[in-house]
Amino acid sequence: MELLMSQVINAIMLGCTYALVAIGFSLFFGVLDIVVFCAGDVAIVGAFAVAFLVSILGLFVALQGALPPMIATVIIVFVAALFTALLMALMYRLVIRPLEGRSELMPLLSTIAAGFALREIIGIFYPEGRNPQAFPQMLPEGVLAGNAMLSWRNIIIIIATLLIVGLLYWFVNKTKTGLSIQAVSQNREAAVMVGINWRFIVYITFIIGGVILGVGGFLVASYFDVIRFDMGSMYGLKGFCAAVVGGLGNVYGAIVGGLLIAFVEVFVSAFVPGGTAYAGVAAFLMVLLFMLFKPEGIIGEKTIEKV
Amino acid sequence: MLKKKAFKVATLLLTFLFVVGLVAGCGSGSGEEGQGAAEEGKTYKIAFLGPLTGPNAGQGVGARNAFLLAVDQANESGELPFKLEVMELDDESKPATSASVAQKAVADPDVIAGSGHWNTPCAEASIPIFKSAGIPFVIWGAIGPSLTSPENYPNTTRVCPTQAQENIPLAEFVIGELGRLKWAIISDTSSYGKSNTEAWQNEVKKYPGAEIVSLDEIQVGQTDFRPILSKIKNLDVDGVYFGGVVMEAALVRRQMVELGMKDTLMVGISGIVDDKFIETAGGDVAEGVIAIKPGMNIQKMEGGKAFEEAYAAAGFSEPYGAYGPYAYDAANIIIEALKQVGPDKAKLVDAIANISYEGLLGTTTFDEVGQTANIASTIFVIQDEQFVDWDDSEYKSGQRKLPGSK
Repeated sequence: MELLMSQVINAIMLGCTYALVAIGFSLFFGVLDIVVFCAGDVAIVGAFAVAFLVSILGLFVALQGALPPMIATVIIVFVAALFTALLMALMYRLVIRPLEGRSELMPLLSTIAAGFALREIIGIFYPEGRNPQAFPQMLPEGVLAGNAMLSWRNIIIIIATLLIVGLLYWFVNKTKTGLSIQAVSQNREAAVMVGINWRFIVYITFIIGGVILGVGGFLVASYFDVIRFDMGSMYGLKGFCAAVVGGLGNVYGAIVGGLLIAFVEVFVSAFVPGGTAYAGVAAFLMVLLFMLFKPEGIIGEKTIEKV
Repeated sequence: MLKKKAFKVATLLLTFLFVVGLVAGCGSGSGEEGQGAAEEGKTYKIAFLGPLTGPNAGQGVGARNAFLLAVDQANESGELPFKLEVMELDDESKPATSASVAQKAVADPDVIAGSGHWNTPCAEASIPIFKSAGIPFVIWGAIGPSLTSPENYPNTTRVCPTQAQENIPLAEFVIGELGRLKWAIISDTSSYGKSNTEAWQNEVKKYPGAEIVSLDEIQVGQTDFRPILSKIKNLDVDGVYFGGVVMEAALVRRQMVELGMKDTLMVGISGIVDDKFIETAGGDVAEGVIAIKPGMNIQKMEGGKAFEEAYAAAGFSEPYGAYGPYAYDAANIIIEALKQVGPDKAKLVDAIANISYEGLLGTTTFDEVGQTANIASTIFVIQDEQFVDWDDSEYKSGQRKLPGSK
């Protein structure tokens, strides 16, 4: 029973890490109808940005003198998230916008290429960038109720994930800009006709997506304690699968999808004898089944082919 | 019509030139006596292949430095009638890169020998290339058992023990001596991990009462081992055997401690004997992890002190690592063979295969498949953020207790 419980927590944690990047995928797909494949890499860039600020510039130690550690952490993560937001806006300007109006395969390929470039840039320019790096631990240590899995860090990661989703929900449904994002994602022509500056809205979406990915990268890195330049590719792929399973373009679906993939992986690994080697295979097989039989995903709307 | 003729003439001319070039090339290569072929003041190259960047760069760079040191010493001694130069090639721990840099090495006519690799899959990719070029190849750090084989002999030799050989003394120590019987295996799915799994399973079978209660194969690059470890925690094992390399090992140990398994012994092979393991896992987390490294502790060997002093004097910023001494001996074996037969590739192949070399790590001779007969190894335990020789550790003297000691 205790084993089952800890595996459930394992799966929830892993699901959160997948969901964070899946939200990015869904956000971009929702507003532009394209798959931005470098989302995983942008998240890892965010993690490296935090590691750079803390391990190399020593910002955490410097701030700790003046501020409580929690606030110092928030400031550092905020700076890193601003960086990834800028990066995401730049991505849109450089590799997506020039290809607008062409086949949607184009931005897919160009963002895959951009992801490659990001990975290599970290590998080349970060000090010893190709080696695994210990990620500075800034979330509080300690456990709740004596259960090793209920560490404060895990709880913070779950709360942060929920908070991000909650904020996103509030922003998209309650603010004017958020409503404009919805309008653009539903029908761009009509949105333009009622006077929405859609280009501006797209930039806003990419900036928000960048912030979420940056924070997501920080949380993932905190969960694993170790980062490496090429982690983004697998992470991005899993996040994309989570988005597809949940329903591409639907932010809440991203969470459901992330959890589902994580549960399959964890339970195959934990309860199928010799299953660890096949955990990834099982997860991708499930994605395949979804694509075949329920391509709109769990929460996604059925798309009607335009004739 | 005219064009066609011109083309024909050009083709003929080119073919002629090519044939002449080939004949001339053969002439200079095999026509003269080995030693005599060495032109005064000419520079020959030895290719060094290894992971100079990438996840295992720590291993490759240390070995490269030791290799350079050996070649520099040979050049300074002036015992060879020509100069030697090291062609440094980075395999990035990727077989594809390994194959392409090996091609680059064999394409250079001045390259007379090669030495390489820490990753077995990389060696698998480059050995056929060196073999077909007839260039002798000495492995300094890759430990997959199949690399030295009748097919690759005598072209390929290896100065370090294979991982199968490595697992023997490790099992002797942790099962035989420490009496840990109930094991969980975590290995990666690469050929390195797989052959470790097999070797460890074979060893465990030899000890009555010893058993393996769980086996998990992980992907290289996987980051979440908590599901596996939660399961192992429930099985209450005497030790976790890890048959992989640094990045995953560090994550496994970190997550073990996180799940409250600090008091479970973790045992690894030479793939994790790297300061990077302690650095990424964290010193406190890594405390008490046991690993084996082939070779005697060089500080205890004759010549070890001289090597360390020379290494320090050469001003390398990185430590020479687990395989530095092997790379050093590999270079010296090639140099020794060069002293015997000169820069003739075919003769070098035989000279290296039949060598008996007194080096840093003792006497190296190669068996009928080119595998070294020198398999002495050292058990290490991590104590105060360092790999410490078991015999010198506070764990042996009883001042500290290993995880899971009763």
